[in-house]
Amino acid sequence: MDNLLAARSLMALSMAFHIIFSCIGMVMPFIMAVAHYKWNTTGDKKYYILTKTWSRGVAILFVTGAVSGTMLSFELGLLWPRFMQHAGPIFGMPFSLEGTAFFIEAIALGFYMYGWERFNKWFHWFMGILVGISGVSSGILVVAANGWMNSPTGFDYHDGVFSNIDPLKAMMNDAWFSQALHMIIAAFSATGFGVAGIHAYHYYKGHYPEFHKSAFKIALTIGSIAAFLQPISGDISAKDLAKRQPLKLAAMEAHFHTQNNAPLIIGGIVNIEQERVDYAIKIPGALSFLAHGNFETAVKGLDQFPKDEHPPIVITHYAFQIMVACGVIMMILGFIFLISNWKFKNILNKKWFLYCIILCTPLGFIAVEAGWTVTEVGRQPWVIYGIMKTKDAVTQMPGIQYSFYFFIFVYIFLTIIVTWIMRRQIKFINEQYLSSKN
Amino acid sequence: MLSIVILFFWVSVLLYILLGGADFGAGILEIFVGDKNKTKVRTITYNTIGPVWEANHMWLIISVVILFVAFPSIYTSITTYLHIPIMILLLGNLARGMAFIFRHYDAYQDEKSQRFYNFIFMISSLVTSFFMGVIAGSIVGHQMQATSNSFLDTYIFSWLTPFSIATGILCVIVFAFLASTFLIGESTTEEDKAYFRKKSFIFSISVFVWGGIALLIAKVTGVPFIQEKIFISWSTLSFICSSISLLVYWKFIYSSKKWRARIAASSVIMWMLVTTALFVHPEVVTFKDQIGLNFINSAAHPLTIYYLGWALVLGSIFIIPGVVHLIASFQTKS
Repeated sequence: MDNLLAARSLMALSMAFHIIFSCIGMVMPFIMAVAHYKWNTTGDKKYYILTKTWSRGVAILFVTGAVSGTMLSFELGLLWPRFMQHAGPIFGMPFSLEGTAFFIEAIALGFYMYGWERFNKWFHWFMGILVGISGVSSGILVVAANGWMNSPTGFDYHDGVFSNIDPLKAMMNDAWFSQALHMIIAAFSATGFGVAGIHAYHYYKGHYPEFHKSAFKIALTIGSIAAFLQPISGDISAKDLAKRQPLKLAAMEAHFHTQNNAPLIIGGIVNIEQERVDYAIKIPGALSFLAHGNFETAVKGLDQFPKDEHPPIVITHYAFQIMVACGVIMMILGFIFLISNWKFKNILNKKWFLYCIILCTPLGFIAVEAGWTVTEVGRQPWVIYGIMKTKDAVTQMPGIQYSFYFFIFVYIFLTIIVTWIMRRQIKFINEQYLSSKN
Repeated sequence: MLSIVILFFWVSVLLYILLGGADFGAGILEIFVGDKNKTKVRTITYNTIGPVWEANHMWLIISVVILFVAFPSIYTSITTYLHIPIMILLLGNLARGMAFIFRHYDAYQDEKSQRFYNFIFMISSLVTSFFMGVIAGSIVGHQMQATSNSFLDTYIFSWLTPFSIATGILCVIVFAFLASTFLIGESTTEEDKAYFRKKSFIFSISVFVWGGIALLIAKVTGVPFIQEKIFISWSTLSFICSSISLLVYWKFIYSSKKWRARIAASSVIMWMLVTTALFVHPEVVTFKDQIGLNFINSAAHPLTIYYLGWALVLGSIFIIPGVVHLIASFQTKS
């Protein structure tokens, strides 16, 4: 494994790990706030237990997110010093604001976690909301920094020299809005479905039913609304991408040849040598419509770009298909849930529905990982799109593959132990319930 | 604006050493206290540091962000030459944060898993603090070798040197000193107070003794700043301030007002930091084989500095009252 690939793999691994915890850290406070609100207004003990159980889970996951995020802030320099040397002063603005947001989040979390029975109950509740607000702000800011890598602006570039730097303009790059919107909604649907799936399992098994049922309903309502909104933001992203990074769009769609009335490809196997996708369903004109709002407009294919600037097409394409598939399934289930919960009320007792929700527990997170794969792999070979290649950014320090192997081990271990500890949280609640019943 | 950014950088570093240091020190103390006192340390740590420790560690993030936004060559040279100790530091930080949170939030507080978390927490507190000192020592102590072509010289012997190891140990002692001072005020019984007072006293002497040894090692191994500057400069004055603070501190550890000893102890450490900074002035990052970097020659574009300065000023309007209120809310009521 060469150093560049090792550095990319280590970065990808760290990001893939961190993103799960950041999503949960952004969204859980809001889910928790609903339960907390119900406890404050109804005084129903089950909501108190629910809020507390969730908040303990959040504390664990938040710390995992915080420490893995600290790692990333150093890894940028450890792995990509030549990128940071130039990019730091340009795209650092969102990071410096994120520092504040993250700080507020940590302060609010301190108040929230240790503040039960210490403060006014609405002040305490608001601290929970504040954790969520600052978490989402951090998320938006970090994505804005990534947006700059996809759509670099706010500087002039001649012969390897960056001049006329304007950090504000760099932060408000063309990509930040569509990317941040897509990410935040994704976080809400992934976390909503993830949490709902776990509680659905315990509800299905008959552990402490009223508790798990309330948990399940709150989480799935939030997840479903987000899953339902996501296609709109996806459409904004596609149109934006067609303008900014047509090459990435072409790679996502495995759209080899420029053509009018371009078809949308669903499924199939990419045949790189023959430059086509075999066995796929093709919807004529749909890609033209999604990219440009017109069934006839030409969509640029990979043939428009020099071969040495192509991203890895197979990975980008499949990752995109996986993301969309997960999104569609969640949207359909969310739709069924919202409608039937509103009209019929009994959907939660339908076994097939619970099965589906349990099976979909990891779906949102798979979509998030796949989506980031599209964004990052789809930008290759560039680290700053059109300006600096990833191979020119990597550290000179040899032997990064050993760090990579070691961190694979570390992250696997952490994943196992976090999963184990979260299971213990739920097991504990179920046992408490059983012992109180007997 | 550049001076505001530099000021914020030093304040964040100082606060990280004091607050984050006390926090690391609590883990180190657990190693150095007898078995029967371990639970005591743990309980007090949980009650007082639990709510604030996340916020304490934010100062590290702020310092790092300032570095990579405003002084990119400082950031990238540190992350290049000190790649390995930084990796270890990060790993230690990861393990420590997770162990701390696990041992308090694990739904089942059984002995086996608690013993495991405690073990990880203590070891990682020690290792992380040590490597933090190693990194600091390498940065200020003319240890990094930028022009060498050999892997060993560039990536290993830039930090694996007698002086850096000495500063690593010093850092461990400083953190233990801060933690034990902090815990005097949080103890509820007179017996506990006396216990931590004694610990804190011993560590305060160790700080100075080991500090002397570190200087001696610097002298022997030929760290440039020692020969040139030790007796003649502002650093001498700030060293005297540090010593005076120590005397004041020895008086204040018996005071019933807990903040007196804390402020005195913080002042000891603050003046030590100032002394070190003055030793290497005008450089900030020093190399063995080339001219070092400072905040002026490595500063980013003025507009970047301008916006960063404003972001920091505006941010601190939100952060500082929040942090103060948070720390004040969770003090042990005396």
